[in-house]
Amino acid sequence: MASSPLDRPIRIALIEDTDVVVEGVRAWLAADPQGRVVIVAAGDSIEAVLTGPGESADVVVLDLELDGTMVTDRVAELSDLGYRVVVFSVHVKPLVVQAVMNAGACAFLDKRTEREQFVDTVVAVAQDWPYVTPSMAGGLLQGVQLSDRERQALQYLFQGMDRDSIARRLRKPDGQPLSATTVKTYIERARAKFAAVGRPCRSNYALLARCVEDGLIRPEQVDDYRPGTA
Amino acid sequence: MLSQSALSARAARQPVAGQPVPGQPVPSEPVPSDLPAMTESVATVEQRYDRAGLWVAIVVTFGWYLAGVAPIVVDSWLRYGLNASDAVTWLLFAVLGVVAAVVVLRGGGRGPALPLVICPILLAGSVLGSLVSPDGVLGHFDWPFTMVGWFAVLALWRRRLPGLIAFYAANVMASGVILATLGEASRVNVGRFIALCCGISALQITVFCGSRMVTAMARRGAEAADELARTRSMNIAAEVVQAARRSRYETITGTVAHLLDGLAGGQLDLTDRAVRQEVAVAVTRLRRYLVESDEVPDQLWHELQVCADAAERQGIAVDLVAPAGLIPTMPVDVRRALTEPIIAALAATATKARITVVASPGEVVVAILADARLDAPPPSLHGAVESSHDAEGEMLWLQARWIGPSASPS
Repeated sequence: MASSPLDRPIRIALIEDTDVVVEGVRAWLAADPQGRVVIVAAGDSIEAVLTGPGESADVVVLDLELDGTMVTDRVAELSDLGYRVVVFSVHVKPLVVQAVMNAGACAFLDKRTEREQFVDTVVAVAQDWPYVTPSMAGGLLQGVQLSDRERQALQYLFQGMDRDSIARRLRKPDGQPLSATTVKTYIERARAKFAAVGRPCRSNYALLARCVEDGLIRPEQVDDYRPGTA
Repeated sequence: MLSQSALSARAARQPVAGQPVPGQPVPSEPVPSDLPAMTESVATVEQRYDRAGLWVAIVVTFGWYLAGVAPIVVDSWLRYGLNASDAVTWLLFAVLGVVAAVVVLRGGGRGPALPLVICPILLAGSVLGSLVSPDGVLGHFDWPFTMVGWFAVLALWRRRLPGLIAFYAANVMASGVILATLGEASRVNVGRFIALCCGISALQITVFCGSRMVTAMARRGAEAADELARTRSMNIAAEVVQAARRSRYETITGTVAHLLDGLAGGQLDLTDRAVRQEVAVAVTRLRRYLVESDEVPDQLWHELQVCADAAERQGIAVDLVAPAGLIPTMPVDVRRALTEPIIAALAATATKARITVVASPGEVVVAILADARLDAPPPSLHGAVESSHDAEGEMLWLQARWIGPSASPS
């Protein structure tokens, strides 16, 4: 369960009660030229999906509303069980996003997202990369103490800009535009800070360990960081 | 198209600031400079005068009781001993007087309970005083007969005048009966008795009625002042409403009249992209004007929803994202300056737009990302709102940012 998949397709368990969405996701994954992600289980209840082949999934993609019931409170439970949870929902209010991120979700995807972003997000989460979607940017803006640059980058991401556009607008003191890589660093650092103050679940420890290894944040910035648990 | 009366009716629902034409300076909200001063409520005035009259009665009663009656009681005590001195009656009356004064000062005594408890005791004390007076009825030591009237004034302060008169009548009749029964009804005594009766009741009734009259006059004065203030307030409110209606009508006329004239006269061609954009801006602006005075918790968001709705009616897919952060309360001219660039961008949008709001207590950023072709975004309508824009390929990014007075620009 939740190993680090690199040399094989990433396995996802899709918990979704709308058939057309399930079929849409299947079509998206089939259309990915590299075939990076496959569905190992799909269904309309958490128990049904995770008791079968879904138990070994690398990533759980969860619709927040199943048969008319919000399952926001189940996110923490899944995170505690060690699943990497990606929420896939139409409930994109920043406070909702913030709540599920605090509960340990690795990422939040708006259902109006495009195929490429869906696949990229799942791949990033499966590898414990601090990936941030525009929906998440709105939640992160209110979540933690950010530097001006981090806040600005998140604000532009929330507004819908891609990293290249953000880089063009965020200029250095000498007037030169930033690189897209620097923008990515700002956003990932903001994500790591959020993970540090959120639920101490397995996926967040993994994400924090990754960020410390990569120099995005320093261990002393994480009060309860424990490398051995990652 | 809305009629003038419909618009006026909406304006009348809540008097608001004048509605300026975009691009022109926004006038500040009309604040009447000659608002009437706050008038004291009628009840407060009435209560104040009533208490003043009551204090007069209390001071006179206890002043006389201590300065006039107490020496008589002491004299009686020294001459005839404690049993014949009425000292107990004096003490009892003092307690009853204090109780009555406290009750009426606290606003009580409106019901019959207080008089029913106190008045019979006063009458009994008066009768007893006349019977045991060492120098007879109407004598120097028959002080209860003359004193009970003042305590009755206190006990009956909140009651009607006939109650007080009835008490005096009972007191006089009792003393008169005693006078006759004891065989002391000589012509001289009867004359003294009548003079004494007039003397001991006239002053009390004057205080009692005088206080009522002064209080009533004060109440009528306060009512007149209150009515005057209300009339002036209504006049001022009517003027504000009228100004708001006129201003709103002029604004709306300025927004759509030239377009309607141009379309009716054939000078404007709806196949022209610029004309279509201008019409779209006017329509959206009109819809925003109509909701600006709505009483909703989050007015900026409410107005953006209306703008997005207007664009969606024109076939544009608008993604209006829930705001990040709590939007602070802002004046209408600031909200207008924040939404005006969004309206312009939406009017130029071809197929899709994403509108976002990022807010903190001292800053609000409204942005739109759309496949729009906008040659020149509108200038900012407000000094505290800065707008910026950028085009990349077919995508237009436009942002309006308000910095509140408490926040320093970063």
